[in-house]
Amino acid sequence: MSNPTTKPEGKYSFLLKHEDYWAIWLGAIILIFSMFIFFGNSPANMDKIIADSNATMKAEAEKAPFKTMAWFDANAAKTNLKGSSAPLAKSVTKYFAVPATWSNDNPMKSFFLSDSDAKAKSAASADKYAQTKAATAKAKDAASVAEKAASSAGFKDTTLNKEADTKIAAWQKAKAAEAKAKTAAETKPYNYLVTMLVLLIALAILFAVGRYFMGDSVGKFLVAFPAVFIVAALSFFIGGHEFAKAWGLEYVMWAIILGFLVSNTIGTPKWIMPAVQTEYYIKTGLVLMGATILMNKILLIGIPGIFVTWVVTPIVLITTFWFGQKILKIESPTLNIVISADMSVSGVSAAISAAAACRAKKEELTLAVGISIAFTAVMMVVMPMVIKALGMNPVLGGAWIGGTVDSTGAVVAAGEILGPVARDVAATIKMIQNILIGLMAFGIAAYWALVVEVDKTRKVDLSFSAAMREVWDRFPKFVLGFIGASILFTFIYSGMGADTSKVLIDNGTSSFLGSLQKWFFALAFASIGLSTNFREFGKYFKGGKPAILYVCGQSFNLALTFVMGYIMFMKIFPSITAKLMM
Amino acid sequence: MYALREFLTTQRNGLRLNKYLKLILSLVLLYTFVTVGLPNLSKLAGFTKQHQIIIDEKIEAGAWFYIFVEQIREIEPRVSHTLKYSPGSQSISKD
Repeated sequence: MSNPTTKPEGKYSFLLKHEDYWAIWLGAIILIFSMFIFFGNSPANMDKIIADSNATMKAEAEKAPFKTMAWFDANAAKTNLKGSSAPLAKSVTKYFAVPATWSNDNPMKSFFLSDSDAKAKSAASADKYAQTKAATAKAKDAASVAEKAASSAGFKDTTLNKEADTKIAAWQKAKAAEAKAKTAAETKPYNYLVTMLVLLIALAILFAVGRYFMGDSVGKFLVAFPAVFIVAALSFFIGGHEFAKAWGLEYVMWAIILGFLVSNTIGTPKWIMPAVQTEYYIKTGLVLMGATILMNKILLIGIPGIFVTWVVTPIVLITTFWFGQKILKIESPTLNIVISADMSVSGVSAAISAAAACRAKKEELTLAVGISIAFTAVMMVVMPMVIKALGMNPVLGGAWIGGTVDSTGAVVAAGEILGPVARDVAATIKMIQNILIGLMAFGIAAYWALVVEVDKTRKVDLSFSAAMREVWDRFPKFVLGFIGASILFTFIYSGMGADTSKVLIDNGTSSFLGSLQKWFFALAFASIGLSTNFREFGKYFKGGKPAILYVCGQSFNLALTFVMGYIMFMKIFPSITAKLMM
Repeated sequence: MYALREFLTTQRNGLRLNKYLKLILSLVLLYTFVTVGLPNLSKLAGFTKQHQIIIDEKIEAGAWFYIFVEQIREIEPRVSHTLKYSPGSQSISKD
């Protein structure tokens, strides 16, 4: 049990007593741990495979006017290098697993798959795997013949080139189908109930350390934590239903709803409240998220990508916020900025970051997330329909989707409905937009500290140092951890080089941190639900202004993103569009 | 006094039972909404085909950050390699 009064009060004791700092310390511990796991355990022959693959792709690209079979093999060899495949990484990350996807025929599959069930599933999929394997071999032979024919003509015969390109595409499609069938045919048993129990204990201890130094009762926290964790785990279960996933209704929403059901029926028992720590979980999760906001990615698709994301998005964000303040006259600027951010930047991730940066109320964050999820569920299906109906270029269509649909998963889903080129462009644009979150959160935190909250304080001392001190006092300190982690990992990424970083960071630390982040945010949203009265929402939705703000802002976003995408991809940089179409 | 205490305790227990019943009913409704409501809503909205693609491709449509989307791990290198090693290009960009 804690007894804060007995602890010494040093000059820097505030570093151990404030939640923001604890978010940074816990985040730092996890980041160091992840670097220890991945940076010292790179896959065997990584450097050689990368060098060989690059050399092959370069040579093949110079040789033929289409992506040859060797080009695709080299791309696959390089892409398959994953830091997360290392034995140590696997043995740790298995404890971060969330309940699996399930369908109506077997809900328990979400938590547990027995050895016999796994074998039965493997056996049932064996035939399909054999068929797809044979189909791939056949497609590969056909592609090989076509490519040789094109090669014999020195790649100068357009008909033969086109034929080879088509056959190679068919081979790639067959390979993808085979990979899917192979996964089903090699189903392994699992028991997430055990791994979740280990995770529960580990997270309870981790977060309890912070609570101890902050002066809370560790005993009460440890007793309460499992209850919040169970709500979080159930939210993953509900969100794991195949149709919940198809609708884009993820655990975040279910965690709030499950929490609501408890707090608005039986009432959240008092003994659970010590672990209902929304901000503590969110801030720690955001520090981890900082390490995955890698500035190196902003040039992935060249200048057009920068314009569609880093130029359009801030314009839409600022305009929507202004519209909400001046035209709609939304009473709460924090609600306004959270909705503006989630609509213009990237949905839930931006809403969480913005809400934490401006200290928005939990009801405001919930409302913004709810609106975003509802509109995204419709937009991700309707937008591909509209794009198809208009006969739009897939690169432009993909850029339009990537710049406007809120969540990354929905962007990939919408792109998939349109086709592979649109999917790849949409996902890349969205990823570049995701990177904007760090700068956005810092900007919002600074704006709130410098402008919005100024009127609330009395200006006794007008000196520069006093003003700076006040700004510092108001500034949410965890944002420094968020930005610091982003800067640190951006430098590490640059230092390692893009290829090595892809293996050890993108497919290493980022996947590790991502799995853990999901749990932190699930705990946060479960806490929101458990501490919120449903009736309180009415006042935030007054006059339907939040929905009007979202609709108006999104309409502007759709128009501006389309115009910018058209100018960039169709008029100024058609060569990039042509390359992406290959 | 004893009878009164018993009466009040019983009343409170009864009230509690109602609250727990509400919670259980709510959870059952939620489960029904997900397992029965959402698939039928897909049909009703005319989204069946699109949703089936998302299910078949195992896309986490609700994933709200790029690191949570498994497909991104293949998409990103494919796009970057496509632009860096563009087929037919005479001038391949240097590292």
